[in-house]
Order: sequence, then C-alpha cells, then structure tokens
Amino acid sequence: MSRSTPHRSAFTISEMLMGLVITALVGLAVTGMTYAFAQGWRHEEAEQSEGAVKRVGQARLAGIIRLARYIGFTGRIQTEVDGQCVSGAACLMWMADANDDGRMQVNEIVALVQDPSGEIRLYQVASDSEATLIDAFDDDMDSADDVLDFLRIGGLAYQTVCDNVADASFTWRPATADGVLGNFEYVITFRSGVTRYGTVTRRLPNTPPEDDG
Amino acid sequence: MADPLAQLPEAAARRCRGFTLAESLIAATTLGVAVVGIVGSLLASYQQSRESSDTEAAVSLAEQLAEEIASRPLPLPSQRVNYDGVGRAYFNDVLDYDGYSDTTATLAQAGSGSVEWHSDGVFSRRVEVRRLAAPGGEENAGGDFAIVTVRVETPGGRVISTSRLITIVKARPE
Repeated sequence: MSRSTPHRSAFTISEMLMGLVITALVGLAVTGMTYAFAQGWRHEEAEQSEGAVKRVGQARLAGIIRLARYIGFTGRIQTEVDGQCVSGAACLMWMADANDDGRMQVNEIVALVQDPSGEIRLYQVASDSEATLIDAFDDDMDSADDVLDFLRIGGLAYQTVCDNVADASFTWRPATADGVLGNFEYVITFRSGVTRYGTVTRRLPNTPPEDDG
Repeated sequence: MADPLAQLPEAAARRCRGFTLAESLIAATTLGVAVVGIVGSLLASYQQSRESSDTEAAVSLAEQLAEEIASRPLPLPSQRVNYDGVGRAYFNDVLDYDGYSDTTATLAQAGSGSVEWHSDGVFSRRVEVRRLAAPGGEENAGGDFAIVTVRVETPGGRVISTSRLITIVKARPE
C-alpha cells in the first residue's frame, strides 16, 4: 500500500530570478526614498541654521551701528589677496570716548570689513595691544585709505559679525538740515544667494569730533 | 480546449494560478496611496521650509522700510514741503511715503543705487500712513501722530505687515 506524501516543490529558477529582481527593485525604491527624505531633512536643517545665522548676523550688525558715536567712511575698499585685487564693503566708526577727552583715539575706533573669506568682521585694537598707546587717530576717517591705514595697525583683533557672505555694501547717509536722521543702509548677499537689505537709523553728528590732526 | 489546471491536483492548481484582477488592483492602489502619502509629506515639508524663509525675508524687508520711514520727520500740515523728484530718495517726510510701493524686482536703496535681490520669487511692499489725533484714536489730518503700516507680500501670496507709531517732535514748553 502506497502512502501519499504531501506535494513539496522548490522555486523554479525563473521564479527565483523574478523574486530577486523584484526584491532588488523594491530595495532600490526604498533606498531612493530614504535618500530623498534624508536630503530633504538635511536641506531643511541647513536652511534653518542658515536662517538663524542670517538673523543673528543682521542683529549683531545693527547692534554695532546703534552703539557708534560717529560714522566715518562707508563704501568699498580694495585689498590684495594672493596677488589679486579684492574689493569688499567697509565702514569706520568711533564707538566710545573711553578717556572722555572728546577726541577719537585709535583704541576707540572699529572697522567693519567684508573679508574675502566670506565673513563680515569687526576689527578693533586688542585691549592689551601697545597700539592703544598711540595718542590719537589723527584723521577724519572719511576715505578708503583711512580704513586701510587702520587695518595696518599692529595688534588688531577681530570678531566675526556675519558668516557665509558673498557680497555686502554699506552706505551711511548723514542727517539732513530738514530733519531726516542719519541712515545706515546695508545689503548683504549670502553664499546661498539670499539677500538681506536693512536700515539702521541714528541721530549722530555729521562732522567728526575734534581730532589731533 | 480543456483547462490544463483542471487536470492537476487541487493544491498544485492553486499554486500555479496567477493574481486575480482584484488582487492586482488592490496592490496597485495600496502602493499608489503609500507613494502619494510619502511624496505629499515631502512636498509639504519643502513648502513649509520655503514659506518660513520667505516670511523671514518679508519681515526683514518690512522692518527696513519702517526704519527708513521713521527717520523722516512728521511735520505739521502747514509745514509740509512737496518733494521734487522721482523715487523715495526725494521724500521729505513720513507722509510722502503714503501709498508708496515697490518690488524686489527693481528694489532701490533710499539714497542712490539699487539692491540686487536674489530670490526665487518677487516680494512686493506697500506703505500706508494714517495721521491720528491720538495713539489708537481717530484719523485726523492735523493730528500729532501717524501710524505707518508696511505690508509685504511674499511670492507665495502671504502678507506680512508691521506698524510703527510716529509722533511730531515739538519743542518742550518753557
């Protein structure tokens, strides 16, 4: 008497191949989707952090302008980097009369400079530098050369105000006789291509304080 | 012609049968719904991120114009001087800005020069100045106060507005 055994059969080669192809396709689709998700999240995160950097940069820039006691040169300066002439925005400001003598000393002056490295930097004389001993900054700070002279002073330190900057421009329009206050305008184009345009209004003297000149 | 499956044992015949139309449709629908859901959430996330950066740019543009207007004086009606020229560089006072509008496609700086605005879409700005008798009071052409409202429309059609109260600066009575 023969006993019937349950019918068992393995996959055929074509079934195996088809299964493998489908598995590979599904795997590819899932990987692609995961990659797309990851890219999306990364992009969003980068945009959010860049937004924060822009906001902080703008706030810091405005904060510095609001502290100035006198704004001198605003415009572009030419510097040489690796033998090439590079142009960037710059601004010279008198920030405080530290010794109450009514004059601008070099340690009371700062320069906002767009650096070719992609930063807007605030240069000032380091507090422990011997440059603070220079009696006075004997100039009215109204030309690009004055910025370059200031940047040549030894013992300067800087802090980064704004990062990832592709281009910038600073314009100071002093107060007018008919009651319009001084306007500091800035335009910053970030490396991502985003532009920020802002104005800071100040009531400041149009002429520099008495200098040693 | 006889069905070849009919000659096989029942279990073997069940194994050899293909998917029915209903099964295929259900599978395709399930896959479609899953893909639409995933793509939809991706698009929504992208849209939200875009809106957030547009809003930030719009706030910045509104603040810029509001700050610029606040630097202008608010004169007494009798002391107003008409501006002579085209563009806001010629504006003498706060009231000159009433009805002013511009877009980032041709954005001019307050003085001279223009702003090269890099963005996927165009933002537009519009200013409204209302002279008031008192803060929060009724409109009054001779009032000592003005409410300046700057509205910025993002490329997505969202409107951001900012307002500032400006007063006449008077000499303090002796």
